[in-house]
Amino acid sequence: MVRRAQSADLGWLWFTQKTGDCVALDRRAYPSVIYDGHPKPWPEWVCRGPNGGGHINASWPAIDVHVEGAPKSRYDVSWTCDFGLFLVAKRWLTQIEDLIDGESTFVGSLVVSGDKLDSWATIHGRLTPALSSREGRHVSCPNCGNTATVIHGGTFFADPAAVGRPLIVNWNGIFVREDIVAERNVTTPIGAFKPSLVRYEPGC
Amino acid sequence: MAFGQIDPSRLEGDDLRRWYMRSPADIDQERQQAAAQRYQDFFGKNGSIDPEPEFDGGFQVSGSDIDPSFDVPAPTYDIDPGLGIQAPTNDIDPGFTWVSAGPNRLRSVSTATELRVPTEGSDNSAPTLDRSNARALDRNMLVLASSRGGQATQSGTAPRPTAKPEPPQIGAMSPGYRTPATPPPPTFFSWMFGGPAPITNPEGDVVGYYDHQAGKAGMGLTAEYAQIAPLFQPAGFMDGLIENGGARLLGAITDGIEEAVENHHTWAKFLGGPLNQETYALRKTLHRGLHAILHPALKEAGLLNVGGKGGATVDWLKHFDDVPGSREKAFEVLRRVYREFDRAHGTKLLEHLEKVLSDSKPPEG
Repeated sequence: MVRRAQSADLGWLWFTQKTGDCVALDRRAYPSVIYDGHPKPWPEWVCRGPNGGGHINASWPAIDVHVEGAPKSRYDVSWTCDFGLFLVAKRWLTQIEDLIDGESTFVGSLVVSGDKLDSWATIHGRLTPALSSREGRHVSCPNCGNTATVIHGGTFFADPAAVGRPLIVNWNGIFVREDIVAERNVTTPIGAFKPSLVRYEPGC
Repeated sequence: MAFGQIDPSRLEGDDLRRWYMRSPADIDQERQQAAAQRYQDFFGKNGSIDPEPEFDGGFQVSGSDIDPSFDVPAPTYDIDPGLGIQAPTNDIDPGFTWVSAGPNRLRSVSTATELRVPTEGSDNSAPTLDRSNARALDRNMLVLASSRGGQATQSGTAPRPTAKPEPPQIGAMSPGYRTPATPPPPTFFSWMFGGPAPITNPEGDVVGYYDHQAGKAGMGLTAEYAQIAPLFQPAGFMDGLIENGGARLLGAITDGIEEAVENHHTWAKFLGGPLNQETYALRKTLHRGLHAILHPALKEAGLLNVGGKGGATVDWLKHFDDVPGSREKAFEVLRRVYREFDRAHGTKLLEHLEKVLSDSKPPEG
């Protein structure tokens, strides 16, 4: 287990999906609700906010998800078309698997027609520090604690709880501490943006 | 338009796409029609009459003016007052006159020189280009068998008249002077497309080069090309061009034009629009201009960036799930921008968007 670093100077490399290819939730596995005038599968791990919208419950531990098909094999990352659950190919996940502590970050399974996919996993963070943006804004859910960040301008972590964490998984993606990325030569997942460095900026 | 009958700047959408997607054969046919039209226009009502009836294989020559109708009078005014060169008050080249050397072409011959009388065994069935004295007035411009230097056009044996000094040849020896058979220096475009294409006359002689600079403009014609365009008229010079890389050249031009047109997904992909939707053809500049308006409009409406981290499709769809009505808000912005853009540019983006939306399944989630 990689321990938390004491230095606040270390930043994180931000990995998030670039690909537009997503996998649909298996409608047979979930109840549907009418959302914005259209039927929508509504899994148990989705929290309905006070505005009526839905997002992944930030208090939920590991998420196993039923999907209509496997993500495209050429990618290392993907997402569910509904609610944007982060999907990771295990071939890439092995590089950081030991950073998943089971307390703030979790991995789950993908299930297609009742069969678990061995090559893919879900990754999810519970009540992890939110990303901040200089000209953006936060929308926090009072029910589950999820914080959605609309990004405009530069990004950083303002929450002191982020300092030294080896791995942060939140609404905006996966953040791996830069020294770990350098040490392990963690590759950019296929289907993701080239990672950028995000730092902790106290007092912002 | 230098060549085509249709001005593509007036086209949009499918019409523009069709215009750009013409095959090289279509373009060639259109070009030949335009060339024939120009030829017809030039000769007017007499276009159907052979302008060179004497070129039937046995035309007569004499020591005097062989064709008074082609005698070009000397200018009596300043030919270019901006250059400060005084126009001669008499014929600038009194010892010479002009004779027809083919469709839409003239050559000068010395009236003081005894022209060769056809002899047995000689081939006078068609005038030939005397490239020994050809000179380029400008880059790639072709001058046919001019004898302004005094050499007899056909025989090459007559003495050069010495009584009269040769008038200055403006531009003839200027930098860049080349004979027609000298290929132009390589350019970026000739490097890309494989070098200039030689143009030959019916005898197979290289009389010039077509520089692939034409591909740069994506229009297939440049002023240089226009200068040699008469050569492409009925004599079949076009065949020579095709044989010497014209087809490749046409393909390159077509490719260049293709780059200038982009397919716009009217139902934006970041708004959940399918990748394989029917797209709307827009010129590159218009397409970029459209996005330059759309992206700030979405941002001003409190929505996300377009593209990049925080603005990818996953971010937009998560936002739509989390904020009810945000999808409709984004489409309102999209429709408003399309409406204003259509009004300003005459496009039909809004109409196309509604068609794509009606043809597709309603957006999920």
